[in-house]
Amino acid sequence: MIIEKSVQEVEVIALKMDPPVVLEETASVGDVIRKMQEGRSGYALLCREGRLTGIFTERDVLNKVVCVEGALARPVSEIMTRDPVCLHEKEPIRSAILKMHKGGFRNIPILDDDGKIVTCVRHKDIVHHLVEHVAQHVLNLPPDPNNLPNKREGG
Amino acid sequence: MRCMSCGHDNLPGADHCEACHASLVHEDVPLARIRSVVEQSLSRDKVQVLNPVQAVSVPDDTPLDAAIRTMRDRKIGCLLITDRAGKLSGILTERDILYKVVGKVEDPAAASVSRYMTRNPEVIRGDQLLALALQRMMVGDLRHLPLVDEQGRPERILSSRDIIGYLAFLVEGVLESEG
Repeated sequence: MIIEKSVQEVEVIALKMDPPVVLEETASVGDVIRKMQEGRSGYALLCREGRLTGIFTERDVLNKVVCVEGALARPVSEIMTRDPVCLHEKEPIRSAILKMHKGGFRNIPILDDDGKIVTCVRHKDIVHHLVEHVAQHVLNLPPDPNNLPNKREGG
Repeated sequence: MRCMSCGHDNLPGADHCEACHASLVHEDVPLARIRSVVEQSLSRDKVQVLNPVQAVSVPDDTPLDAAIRTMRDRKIGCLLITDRAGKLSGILTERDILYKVVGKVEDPAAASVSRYMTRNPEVIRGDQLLALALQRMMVGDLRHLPLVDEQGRPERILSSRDIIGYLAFLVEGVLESEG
């Protein structure tokens, strides 16, 4: 399947994605950041009674936490982004690309029919999908593409 | 020897692809075989067609807190660090701040940005192929790729946001042409 077709037909849930980092919205900013550091994640999803209520990302860390006195002790609910734009797990990859592009989002939470958190799709997951689909053009490049071997054997 | 047309992995030294019979001599790969607009673009277009934004850079002796303020004020997720000669020596991203700085550095005014930046980052030139940029971003798990000139001085910065925008444009274009 060519990439144009796959982004329209393949569901976003079929992308290879890591398990999401999810915490209660009552957690402190410091706790959330520690969980992001442990999970090597650039975002955390916050919830109350199992429902998504907000998202906290590395952009928030830069703008609202680092070098800000007392920020680590505050509850994350005070500085997270409330009610983030989400995707349904059955939506095509195309929807994720367009929502990311229009809203300037790097992470979009994915929910199921019951509104429960499934995971979170990131720029990286889309780039991986693209590269996998065009692998013969991308992954077979010589170290310096301007210096092509003049023999098949590369000698 | 992977076939550029169908991706079949042939024995080294084969003249023609076992699966699709395309010639395996590089010059003979017909671009017309590639049906996808995205694939054609990736194998032909240069990084500069995406018109990446101007890079913001600071000298490597800048205090960490000043570097962070610059990122906030200029609303950027990535700051380039240069040496005395103006050459790129490192990169400081939101990720570096999340992993190495927040909650870990007592006094960011007393620390130098060069201690926390990622040294010798992967780079690309504007006249190199988009496919190569994508490959470097994926292999290195990078969200930003600085564009440097022949002397290694930073000029612009390619981000995954540009890649998403490029895809959005091509995907929308496909929809339009299908009516």
